Amino acid sequence: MTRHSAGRPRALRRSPCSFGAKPAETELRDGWNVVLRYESEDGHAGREDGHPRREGGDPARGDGHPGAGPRLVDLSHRRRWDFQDSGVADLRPMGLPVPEGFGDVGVHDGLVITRMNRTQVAIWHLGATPAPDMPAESGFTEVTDGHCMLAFVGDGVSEVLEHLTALDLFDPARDMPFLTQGPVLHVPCQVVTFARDVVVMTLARGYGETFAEAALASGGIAGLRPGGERLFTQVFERAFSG
Amino acid sequence: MTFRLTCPVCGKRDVYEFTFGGQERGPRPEQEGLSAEEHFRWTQFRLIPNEPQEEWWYHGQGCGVWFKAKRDPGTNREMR
Repeated sequence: MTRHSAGRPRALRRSPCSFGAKPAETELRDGWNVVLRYESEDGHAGREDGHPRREGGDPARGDGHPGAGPRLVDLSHRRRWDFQDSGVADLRPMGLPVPEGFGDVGVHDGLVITRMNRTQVAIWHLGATPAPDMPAESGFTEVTDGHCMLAFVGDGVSEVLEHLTALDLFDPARDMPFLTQGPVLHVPCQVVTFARDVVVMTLARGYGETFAEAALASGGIAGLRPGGERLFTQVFERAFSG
Repeated sequence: MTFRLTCPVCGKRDVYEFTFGGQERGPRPEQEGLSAEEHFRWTQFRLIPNEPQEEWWYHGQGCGVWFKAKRDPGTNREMR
């Protein structure tokens, strides 16, 4: 860990997006300054701009508690890998079984593996446990610093996303979780629909700042506002633990 | 004007997610003995058929795959 002259740890890596909201709690992790919670999450009703907001459930409580609604969470610091091999279907990258169909997704102990095409899978670390190291074998590329990763969490996520994309991210003909590769806000994205109230997407890092700004502005109509990582972890663990 | 194309990875999607890659022209002619006119014809000439043709498409807004589709330029319908 690098320290600056005052002897305090310093963030060396910078998220590709910011939400224009005041963090209430942060943590320095792997050189990232991770926002665990925003001040606006503390029972404050209404949007960041002061307009009234539709009621929704508290994503962390999952009980339909009014006063929270959908949240946008920056997960760009979460480690991600790309794995390619002509025979990927028969391999177990990082010990994970490769999903059979294109667009299929597996979740195993906090690691998410998505089948992108014939030769390629993406692996995301989204669990609460520490991220594993990248294996030494060939075929892996760490892509954490090349992407922006955002999560939409909470009641009303589907309504928010209807404002952002023409893609059907909640296709009832597909079993959740599933991967969709397509444009959101005209930006090519990899989108995983984990549940009706948990959708995570990655996009090229350079789009991050304006994408987050546009998502909060467009999704604000449906009550979208910033959320910290803790909120996402609680919802994700509740959905996939055990 | 819009229609849908079937990506081999992602399924049916709006054509605006794709980039047109031109007609399928077959393999490049052998270089040996190739005249300048033949080379010019292969690189520059396109047929404009009023019937279904094979075309290259790129799913740039999605999975990034190049693939061939058969489309009728007269009706903009993808053929099976």
